[in-house]
Amino acid sequence: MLPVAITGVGVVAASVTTSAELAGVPGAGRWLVGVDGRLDLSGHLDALQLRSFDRASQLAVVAAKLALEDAGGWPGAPSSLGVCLGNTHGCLEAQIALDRAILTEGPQAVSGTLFPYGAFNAAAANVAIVLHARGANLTFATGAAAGTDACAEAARQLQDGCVTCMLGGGVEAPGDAAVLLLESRDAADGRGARTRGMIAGAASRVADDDSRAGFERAAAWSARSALEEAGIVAGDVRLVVGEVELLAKTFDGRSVPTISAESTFGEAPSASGAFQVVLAVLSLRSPAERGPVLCLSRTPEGIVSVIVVTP
Amino acid sequence: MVAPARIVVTGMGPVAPNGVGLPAFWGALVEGRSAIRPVRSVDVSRHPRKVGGEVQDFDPARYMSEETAGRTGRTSQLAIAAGKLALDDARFSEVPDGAFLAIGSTLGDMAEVESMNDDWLRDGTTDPRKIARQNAAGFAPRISRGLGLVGASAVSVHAACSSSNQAVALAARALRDGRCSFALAGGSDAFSRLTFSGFARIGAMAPDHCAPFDRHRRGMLVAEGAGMVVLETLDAATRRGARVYGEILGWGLSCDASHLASPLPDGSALAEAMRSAIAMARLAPSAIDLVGAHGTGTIANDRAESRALYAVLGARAGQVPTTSIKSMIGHTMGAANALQLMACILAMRESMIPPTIHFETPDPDCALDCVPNRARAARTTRALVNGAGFGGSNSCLVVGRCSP
Repeated sequence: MLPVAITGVGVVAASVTTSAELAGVPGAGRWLVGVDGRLDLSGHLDALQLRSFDRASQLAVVAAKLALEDAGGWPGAPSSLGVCLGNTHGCLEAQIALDRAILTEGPQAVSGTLFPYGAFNAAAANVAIVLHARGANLTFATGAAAGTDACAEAARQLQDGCVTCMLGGGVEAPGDAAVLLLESRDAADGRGARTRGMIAGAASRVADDDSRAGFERAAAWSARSALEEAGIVAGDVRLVVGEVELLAKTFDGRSVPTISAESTFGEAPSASGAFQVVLAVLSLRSPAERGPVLCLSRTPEGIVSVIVVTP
Repeated sequence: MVAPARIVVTGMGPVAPNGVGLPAFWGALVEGRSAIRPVRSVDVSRHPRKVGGEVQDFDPARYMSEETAGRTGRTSQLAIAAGKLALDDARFSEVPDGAFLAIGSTLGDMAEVESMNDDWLRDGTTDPRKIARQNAAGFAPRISRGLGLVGASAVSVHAACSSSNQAVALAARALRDGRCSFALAGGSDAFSRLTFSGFARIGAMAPDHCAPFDRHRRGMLVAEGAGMVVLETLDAATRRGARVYGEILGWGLSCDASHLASPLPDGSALAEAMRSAIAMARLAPSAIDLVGAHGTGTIANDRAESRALYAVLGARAGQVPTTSIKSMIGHTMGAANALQLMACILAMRESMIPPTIHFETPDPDCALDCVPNRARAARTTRALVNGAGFGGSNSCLVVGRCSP
């Protein structure tokens, strides 16, 4: 993977445990954080979007707009901007509600307006519609790994060369989303954009079984592959975001500082991988702690995904 | 500079309304046989529409253990069956470790959600096994484990009805980048009452038959199915003496960024995806001699796709054979692109293009050679396979012929 620059960060969170330290400080990106758990999106969406978008779409659109604002806007052509989101559960509410309408009121009760929200990709599509992003549009539904997988795929889309800029991240209704603006290092430097960090490697594996050992093997393989792709070794890693316990063999007993997205943002499965990358970017603001960050997501269903963020 | 690895198709597994497995699927396509029947899996008594494309007599026990079948929803079962057929067709002496699995779907295991709702309405209960079966987060690992893959990476990618082209693109790139030993890619969707009701509600569904590109076409028909292909690098396939069906030459993705359910009328974003795929294949548009159309049979989709084809292929668009197998099997949603891809690969391999059936009256807005009603013997070498879906997601592949 070519190192891909992170030039914008947009965060929407119903609540964070350390908002005073994170939100609003230079280099942290643009954040919208709920007050007493209440998240007011009305300043960021128009009346139609507030009325017609599902919650996942609203959150994703606001996070994407914040990421673009943070990056100073996107001056490129619409066809050169793509979207890749993790969104596993965002459509479930619509699926249940639409089907219950069929059961209780008959097939004619299905709302033609709501029907497309039964598909997983509605949130990513609405981001594209609002931002006129006509590049690749992808959605991953890999649960707690979806945000990680989406950020990694966004970076890989840039390598294909069909887009010059990607929005990658994850969304979890009712209150969480994180979106990053990614572009090639050359493109970022060319337009004088501030680079917050680089996505340098990524890998994912399904544990062969649900045993602890199975997850450890999958984590070790994913970490090794992602680090190889990034061109660094485990000894270079300064910080792990996620379950470092799965990586005992990777670090050969070395103690590595660790944080978790859950302790900051709470449980937000499809957004958590993107939150991890946000925390990685934040850690890079400290000159003393600048160094590669390994983010690890694990799903109960068996996926272990890793992404490596470097200064 | 090292040339990128060439990616080839070495196994194909169709699970379609017109047949399970390549011989049945291909035979029905070439005969131009319709697989549209009265719907059995969904109660359509209160629906104005009554027909669709269901996989007939599907027995999951032929492809997985009883235990796996019991904890797996029908969309996942269809995908596992398609994957198993593709792996068998690839004739590995031993399936290698380290696969990359990319599976696309529009609604995932929606039938399980519906079954949960049935319980809810009947007695307010919720069966935890159904919750597990509908869990989208488990979709990709469920299929990976159901196929017995070891050391595999797996993603589920969702772009509505262009999902399986996206899945093939992601898998081809993973192989090209050396991130896996081989890849399995495709899509799956089971019949669901939400899909059936929803498409009827938005006026997209035809009453009895699907007639893509016909002037009097009245819409699409909902169907179910799965399609998976095995991809390998040409070097790896050659080393093990594998049968090579075709080559993935390029892919392109785009988004209409216009409307959740209606295509961009001018087809310009779809055209952009076609151009990207052709450019990645390092071909001129004039090299395309076969089109596997998305061809849903709706007024808006067929018109937009026709405009996109004219924008990319120029006046030649009217002469390039452009076939839509949806006329025979209906719209299999997440599986549609993968099944159309197989049809195009076999068309090139067998020098026989499956027809677009139910075609009677040319439409000036869709002035294409849709291979009307009867299969056509013709040698073709470079096919463009189109996918377009809800959310304005477009994905196109260019696939090349490989000599048998």
